[in-house]
Amino acid sequence: MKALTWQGIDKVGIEQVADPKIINGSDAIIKVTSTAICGSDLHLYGGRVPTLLKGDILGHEFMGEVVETGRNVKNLKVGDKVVVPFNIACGHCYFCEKGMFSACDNSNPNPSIPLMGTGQAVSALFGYTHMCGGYAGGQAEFVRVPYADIGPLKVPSGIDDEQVLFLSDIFPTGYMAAENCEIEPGDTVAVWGAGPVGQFAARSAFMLGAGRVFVIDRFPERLELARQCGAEPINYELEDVYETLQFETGGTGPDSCIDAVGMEGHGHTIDALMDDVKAAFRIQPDRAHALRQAIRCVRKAGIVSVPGVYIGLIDKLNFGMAFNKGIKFKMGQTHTHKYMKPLLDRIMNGEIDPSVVISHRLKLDDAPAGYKMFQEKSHECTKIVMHI
Amino acid sequence: MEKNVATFERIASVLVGGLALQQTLMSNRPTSVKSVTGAAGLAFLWRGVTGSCPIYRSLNINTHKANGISMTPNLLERSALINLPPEEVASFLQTKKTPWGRFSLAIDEYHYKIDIDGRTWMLELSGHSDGNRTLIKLTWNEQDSLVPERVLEIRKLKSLMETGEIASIEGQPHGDRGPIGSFFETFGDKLLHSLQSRTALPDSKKDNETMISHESEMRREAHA
Ligand SMILES: NC(=O)c1ccc[n+]([C@@H]2O[C@H](COP(=O)([O-])OP(=O)(O)OC[C@H]3O[C@@H](n4cnc5c(N)ncnc54)[C@H](O)[C@@H]3O)[C@@H](O)[C@H]2O)c1
Ligand SMILES: [Zn+2]
Ligand SMILES: [Zn+2]
Repeated sequence: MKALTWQGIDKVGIEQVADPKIINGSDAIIKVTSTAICGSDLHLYGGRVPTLLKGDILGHEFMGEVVETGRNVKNLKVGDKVVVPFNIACGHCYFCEKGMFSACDNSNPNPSIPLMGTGQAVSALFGYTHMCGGYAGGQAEFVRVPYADIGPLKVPSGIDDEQVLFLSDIFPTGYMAAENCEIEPGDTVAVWGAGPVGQFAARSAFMLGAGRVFVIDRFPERLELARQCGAEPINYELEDVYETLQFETGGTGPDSCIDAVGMEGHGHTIDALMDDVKAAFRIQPDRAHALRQAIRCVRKAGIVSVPGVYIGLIDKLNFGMAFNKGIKFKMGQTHTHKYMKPLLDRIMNGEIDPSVVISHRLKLDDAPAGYKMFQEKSHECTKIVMHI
Repeated sequence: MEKNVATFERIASVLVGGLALQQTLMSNRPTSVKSVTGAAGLAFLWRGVTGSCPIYRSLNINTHKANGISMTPNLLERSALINLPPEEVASFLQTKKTPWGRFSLAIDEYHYKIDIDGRTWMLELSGHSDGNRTLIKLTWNEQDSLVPERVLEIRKLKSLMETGEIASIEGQPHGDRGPIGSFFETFGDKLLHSLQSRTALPDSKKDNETMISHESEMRREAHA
């Protein structure tokens, strides 16, 4: 089959590889019909996450049709149309049973590395390094999905892929980020990053009762997309984010702040420049400017919710500020499985059209150019979908 | 050369060194930069593989000794919290075949044993105070003063009990690995395993291999 593989720093390519096979009884093989490139893929593309090997198949946002099932699979049959969550979870361990799917105990075949990185090994992810399980990803014609009774969500066969594809990651991620803000009716929420995750976070914040939502970025087309859902855009290249947020909230600050930027944060202040230097020499991968700013802006005893991915030891973190204001942090990989069905219902009810974030539709063969474009945010690129 | 680096640090060194080397070989920066990062990568790799660090020696630091066993992942791999009550764990151990063979009752219903290539392993069960989970701890023949390698991977036993299978990516597709990728693919696991073992007992090394082959055998059987 054809698959997109990582070939080195800032380099991906399309290769001919073997078809995936059933390995365990709970596996299913999915023929991928649509897949997307995620902001998280950019961390891999840039070679910033350790234990990715040349030749690894990327992709964790995908959906398709079931073409084969292992002998223990009961909920799926050949021909079903499914969306697959990006985390791999067993469904039976303590964490899965409590709905904390991204903390699954059993899905990572080689937990020794993450064990050292994180103290305890977290769940495996599709197409996301050997530290996260080494599973082949879904930017390919076919993909093997373990624990097929647990993860894949069956969707109506008539529905357009673009309506449901993002249930695999970014819609649940934006939603969980907003849910983590424990929004009370009329609350003010500020979202850093107007990328796909930020867009869904802003929309979800409104769904959960926020009165005002600010969205911060520097790309006009992304800010415009945020404005369309009722959010108030702040272009950080034109305005001072802290001053604007304080002014708009009477010096109180937003009730909660969402960092939907993560480790590729950009900025012009001294902390951001120091991060840039360290990242360039690959001493430290995380550029946490947005996180620091969120901590500074949030109201006293507010919440900072972090869907943006960080992986290393962030320095210059204003933790004293966080302590003295009594901030609550909520973060982590999304417990995607938990949100897929309720969010599918919201899509079916017409509460949201997830396809609004899509700016480009490509063929799998054009994915390498897509990565470059998405990394550079050129051609007003917000989200790329490949139909296979 | 005397070892003076803790296992945890050794693994970290191998990872950091490997990564630096990988990035050096793949990058298109000037040779001056590449020679620095390349040399640093090699040095870290060497430090990790040998467990010996000249800088530590000159400063009289020895994390190898200081950390002792408590820092090695082995200890972590020798206990697990199973998401099943003790009765179910006990009945699993008495009735199910595992990649390592069958366990049998020892002492009382809270102790089970299994013989693997001449070594007796004991599992000790205790109920978690929440009433739903079971803590299992692995012990071995008292007369073996040396700590064996991570031969009976208790984590896999846990997966088997909780989900009926052991997570695997054996034989899945990938693209061309290139020389560096193939190196890490072929030796990465071995390196990790050898670093994780505290002692180099030849017979337990054999146990390790037996265990791995038992596991793939079981997987094959399950599919026949
Ligand atoms: N937690 C999860 O499970 C999960 C899931 C998916 C994605 N993510 C993470 O969410 C983050 C965003 O993903 P995405 O797909 O939207 O990526 P993206 O790259 O499209 O979006 C990031 C946006 O942040 C903006 N930005 C950069 N620096 C900023 C700053 N200082 N202030 C404000 N905005 C800034 C960029 O201009 C860009 O528009 C990534 O870190 C990704 O890894 C996490
Ligand atoms: Zn994603
Ligand atoms: Zn689980």
